[in-house]
Amino acid sequence: MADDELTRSGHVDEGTLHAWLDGALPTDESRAIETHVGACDVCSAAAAEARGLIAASSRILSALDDVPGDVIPAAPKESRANPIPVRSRSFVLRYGPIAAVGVFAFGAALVVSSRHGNEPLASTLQSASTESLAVASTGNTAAAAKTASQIPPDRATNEERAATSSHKASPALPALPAPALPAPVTSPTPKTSTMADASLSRDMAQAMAEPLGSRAKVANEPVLPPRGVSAGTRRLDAPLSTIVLAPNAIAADASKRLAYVDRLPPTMTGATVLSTTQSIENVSHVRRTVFQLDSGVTVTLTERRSLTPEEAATAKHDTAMQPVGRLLRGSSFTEPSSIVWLGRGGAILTLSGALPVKELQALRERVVE
Amino acid sequence: MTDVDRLFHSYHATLVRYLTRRLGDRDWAEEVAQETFVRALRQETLTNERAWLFTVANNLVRDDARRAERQRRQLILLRDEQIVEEELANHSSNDEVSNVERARETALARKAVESLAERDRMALLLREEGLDYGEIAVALELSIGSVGTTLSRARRRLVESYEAMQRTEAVRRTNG
Repeated sequence: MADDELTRSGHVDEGTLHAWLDGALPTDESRAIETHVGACDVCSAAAAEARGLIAASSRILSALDDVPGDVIPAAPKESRANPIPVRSRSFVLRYGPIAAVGVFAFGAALVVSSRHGNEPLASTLQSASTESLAVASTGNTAAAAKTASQIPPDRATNEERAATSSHKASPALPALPAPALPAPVTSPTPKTSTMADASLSRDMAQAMAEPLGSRAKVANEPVLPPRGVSAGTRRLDAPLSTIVLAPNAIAADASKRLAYVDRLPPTMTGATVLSTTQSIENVSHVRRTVFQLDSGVTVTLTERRSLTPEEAATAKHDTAMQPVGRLLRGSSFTEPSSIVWLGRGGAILTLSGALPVKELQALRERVVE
Repeated sequence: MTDVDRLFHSYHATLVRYLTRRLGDRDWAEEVAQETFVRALRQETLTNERAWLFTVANNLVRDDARRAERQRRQLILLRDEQIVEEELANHSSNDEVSNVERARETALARKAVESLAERDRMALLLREEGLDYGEIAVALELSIGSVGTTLSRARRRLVESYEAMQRTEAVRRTNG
């Protein structure tokens, strides 16, 4: 073996051992280390320890994916106890009033002009169940979107448990302190949904492989009139066209990047808009629209686009408010399933709710721009 | 499928997870990821695209974070501890014990990760997302030869500090 891999004591140094275990060494070096480790007790013990450190640090890092669930302000008319994730409750109580100021103040500070947009939402579809995001995190897998077939059973069980626990309904909710503050609403995940991790991930993989056109049949479903929706409707059976996202075109006309948000909130057939909030969060302008479906399930559409320089300049005044509001609304890898797609000009849209991914995709088709 | 679509499909999820782990905040992570892709749109060509994306994301975090990061970290730590207390206060059945344990693990893991030097932490998180040594070297402006050393140091410190905190916590619980 080459001398430069050995320390003065004649053993392999720790960094090289890790590189070897990570498969980062050229074949000949790797073979040399293997031979040496096989023959040297000290290095063999060090390699065993290094393996342990690699595994333990992976495990510790995967614990970071357990982030508290989403809490979204909604219309106060619902008198039924809206479940708040157990993990977030203290923050609702503690920071509720402050965050309400944050959410609504930001929204007020940034009222965008509304007009009807006739162009369909740009629509490159990437679907990603949150479960798969978390599950794919172990080891050194490069692709995030591993399918369920690759999920070890124990990991799947953990995710299931995580998903179940973080959406546990709280039977007796204390009233929020500020009467003007709407009751927080989260999307409770039914057991059936959390137990369907594997199928969700398969759905996802399938959806990613599917061309958008093949889902156009969704648009042929019976079209229900929008309910409780004040504006922004358009023909609901119009299929979404595929993405028009030529980088050059965007670079040539930066104003187009704003197009998607300069319009009325989206509507969805068979759904009521519970709330729409807009905020500036660091580098993004974010709008969240919460829909309640006829079935009672709540889904949230989140739209993000980059700030213009002017907005960014204004936003700096608000930074002190951000962390608290952000924590309150902090979303989660263990929240209900969600689909993410890239919109016009790099806007990122997320639709999330306690529904199987396929149903979310169908809903996405019904989101009217 | 355009290049941008492909980039987005290939890297959005992994970038968001990396950033979430690093920042402890999914919303912030998504914003940074979004801005990263917007910048990718403006590039004529991308060589070594995965390393490029993670590098840009790291730079954005650095620029973005200067003003508010310290405060945010404090809040995140506070939140994690709060969750543990909350879990403890509200639940006692066997079913809930695992929640308490998981919340505690998350809080400890967050603290342990925060205790690492910035570069060590990033190297570790990038490696967990499957970046090879070459890509990590590019993203962190390290020599490729020092990636192994950086990773080994980061892993050891992470595990040791996690375990030390576990012991402290165990003592505290026994006494308290």
